[in-house]
Amino acid sequence: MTMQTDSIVNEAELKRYLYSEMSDDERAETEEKLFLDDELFFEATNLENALVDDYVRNNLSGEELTRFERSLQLVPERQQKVANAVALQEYIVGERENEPVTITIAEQTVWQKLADLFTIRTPTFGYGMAGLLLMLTFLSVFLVLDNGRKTTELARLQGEQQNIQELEKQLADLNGREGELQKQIDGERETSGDLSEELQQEKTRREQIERELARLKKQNEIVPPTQRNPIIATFILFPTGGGKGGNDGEIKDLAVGRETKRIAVQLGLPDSVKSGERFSVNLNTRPIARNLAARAAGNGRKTIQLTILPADLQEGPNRLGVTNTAGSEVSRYIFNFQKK
Amino acid sequence: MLIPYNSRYRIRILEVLLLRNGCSLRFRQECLENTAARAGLVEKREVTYLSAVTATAFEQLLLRLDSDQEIAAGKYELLRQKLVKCLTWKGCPETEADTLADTVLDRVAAKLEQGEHVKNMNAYACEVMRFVWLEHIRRRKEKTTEDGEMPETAVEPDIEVLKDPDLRMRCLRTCLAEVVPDETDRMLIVGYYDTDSGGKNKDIRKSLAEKLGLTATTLKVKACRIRDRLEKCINECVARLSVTKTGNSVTNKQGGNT
Repeated sequence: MTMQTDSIVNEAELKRYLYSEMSDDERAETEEKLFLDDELFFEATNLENALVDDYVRNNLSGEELTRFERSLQLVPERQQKVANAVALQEYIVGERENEPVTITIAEQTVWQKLADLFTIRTPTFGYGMAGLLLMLTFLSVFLVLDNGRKTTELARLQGEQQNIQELEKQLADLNGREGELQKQIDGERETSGDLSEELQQEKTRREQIERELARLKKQNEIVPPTQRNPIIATFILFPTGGGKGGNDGEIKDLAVGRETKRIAVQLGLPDSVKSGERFSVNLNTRPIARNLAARAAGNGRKTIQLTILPADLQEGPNRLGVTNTAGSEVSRYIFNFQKK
Repeated sequence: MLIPYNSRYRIRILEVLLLRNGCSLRFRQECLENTAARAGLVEKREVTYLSAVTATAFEQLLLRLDSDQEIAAGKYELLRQKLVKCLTWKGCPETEADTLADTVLDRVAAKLEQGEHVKNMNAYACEVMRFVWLEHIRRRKEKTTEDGEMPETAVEPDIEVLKDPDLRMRCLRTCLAEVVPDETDRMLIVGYYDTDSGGKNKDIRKSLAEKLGLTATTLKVKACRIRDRLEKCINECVARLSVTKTGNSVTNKQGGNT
């Protein structure tokens, strides 16, 4: 903070300045130096204090005393300084008498200097130090408690840190596991693709089989003789038991040659049957046709027609039964089959 | 308690203290109003008036002294101290020196605000101080001529200040507690000035500096500053109590006559 001037102002010059003995130009020059040089400014202030103190202690004499007293007229504020210096000296003497301030020139150790700071010189200082010690005690207790709290907090934080590490490890494991699972899923997807292909193939094969089965079923189905060819033999049968347009209890013989492949049979139905009514037929209790519609013949009698394979018939008596959609047998036909 | 006397100086110091304690320049007005008025240092209207005059200029002045607010506040204090001292050394009473110092600083701040190029703040302030002082002398001469009074410098030394040492001692004790609250500072001022003239002064002060862990120069500067602060306080205290005392004695005298 100190700014050094080019020229050094000595004590004599400062005294001339303080005693207002300089010309205006000299004064202006010195003032500028005081404003530019902080150390010089405090030097001047200190010199004024010293002169005032010397005056109060009657240490000034001769020309110096005259100069000083003349300055009291030119610098009226200095009179206040003299009065203050008198009071300050009185105070210092009083302090010295009560508890003299001893200043030892001898070299002091650091510990002695430190110990000196705690020497009680005045009651106020003593109270101050006591307060300071009390504050230090409270501070120590607070620090101990705070340290304990912080240790606990540290332990808690360390625990949390450990938990975090464990969780991170678990997370890493899970990530690894997820990777594996992803790989598995990808593998499964590939396998699934294969399976889907196989399934599709199976589906196609099943459909082919179903189509073949349907075709075979159609082949096996007993259909009206008009749809089949060639018809080798044709029989007309009437229900047994008479009264109902039967063949009067007579069992007809049905003889076909060995070359006959199919036998067309027309079954006469009771009079109560209406045209278009649907019926099923069984041969020797085995169903051989269903959903056959009753049709009216030339004489008005209702009949149904069907084709029977000679292989399905047994040598000797055979029985044909006709049942309606409710499952009730409406007529039966017995005949003797014989291959010629 | 309001201090009507020399409140302008107190506001200035308060401004510096507020800046030191973190109150930004921007909120200086608010800080001053709230802190100063609440503390009863000055009247609120006075703060408002003074701050309004120099708000921006004062800010620029401090910034010019240093960009760091704390350092700027210190430099401002020192510059003001130099102005007051130099004005008193010219023969100006301390109370007037306070006002004149503020006038100088206001003019410097105003010039800076107007964009005046100032090479060296301290030298510039010193120059402005001379003009302000000459103006002050001229005004005083005009006033004394009008009033038919003799110039102040022609008056015999006023030894009145020595007439009531008890009052001053009382003020000293009060001021020691008020402006030198730090025990070390009190030890410093007692130790530093508890010397007789002579060669042993240097040794005693050197020892004191070592004891306090200061250099000889720092000790000298510190002692000067503390003593300056202390004397200012004592002078204000004496002036205040003297007025009260005079008022009381006049009242008693009048009461006795009736």
